[in-house]
Amino acid sequence: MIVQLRVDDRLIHGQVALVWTKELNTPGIVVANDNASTSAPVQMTLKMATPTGKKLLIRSVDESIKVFNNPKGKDMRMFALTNNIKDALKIAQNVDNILGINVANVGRFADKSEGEPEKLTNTIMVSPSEKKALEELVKVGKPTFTQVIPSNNKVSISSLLK
Amino acid sequence: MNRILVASHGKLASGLKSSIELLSGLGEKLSVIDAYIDDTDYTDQIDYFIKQLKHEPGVILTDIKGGSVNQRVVQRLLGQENKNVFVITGVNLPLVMSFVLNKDPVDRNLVDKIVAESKLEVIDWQIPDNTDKSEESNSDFFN
Repeated sequence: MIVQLRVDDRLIHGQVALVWTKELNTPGIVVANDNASTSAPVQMTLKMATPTGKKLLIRSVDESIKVFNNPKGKDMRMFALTNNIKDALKIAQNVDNILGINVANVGRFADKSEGEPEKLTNTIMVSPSEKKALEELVKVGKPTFTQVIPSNNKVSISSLLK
Repeated sequence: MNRILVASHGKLASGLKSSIELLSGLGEKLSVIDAYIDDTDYTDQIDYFIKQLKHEPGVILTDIKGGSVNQRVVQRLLGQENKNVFVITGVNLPLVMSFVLNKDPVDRNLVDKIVAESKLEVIDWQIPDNTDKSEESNSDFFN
């Protein structure tokens, strides 16, 4: 089961490695990212960021969906990470067992080819196509919120899109 | 009431609090003593922390084994009725974070576990010459 699907453009970093993996009690971390799945340097730094005692898988988005739907993972608490909303949408549309979707940090490092992104919160900046994906993500019907660190209140994404 | 005190020579303690706040937003869970940054005696701050615990368990993290801050903490705990104040030295950020995020009752077993885990976080990270990807298999992951 995916305890949380988090959109975070830094993937595994201090907030995620130190704080969220403990908060969520997830022994397994899956990074679902096409670039990371083929880049040795990115994989090396992600492994470096993985907390001691946690298991890490780095897979393309399509491969990660197979991992999430693997019957062996039914009872395993997994923390899923993507670095953009479109990838999270694809996972949400193809995996049933997701307890929550957290759109945390996104857009800071995105390319600006679609123009200046729209700022929804201090940590969520969306291009028109990412915003459309965000609207679709809410429509999937799973709890979809933003919460950068556990001490922040959860804010529903639908309230940000009004 | 705060259950966690970090006491250091200089600003390590307040610096750790700043990092904990940035990473988790839970800086207010920490009491800190930055000793020797001026001429005040910090003994009262140690005593106050112990007193406000009343009979509840607490943790005091100090910077260096054998340092005067650690010695003073230990001296102030001697003779205390509350036997559930644990002193740990060699503080680092993962150690503080583990206590800040801990939701279990603080007892000897928990302290041993957190200390053992945080020791593993000091690592000689050797940068490999080549970065060939080593593929983890799905079956390893699910085991």
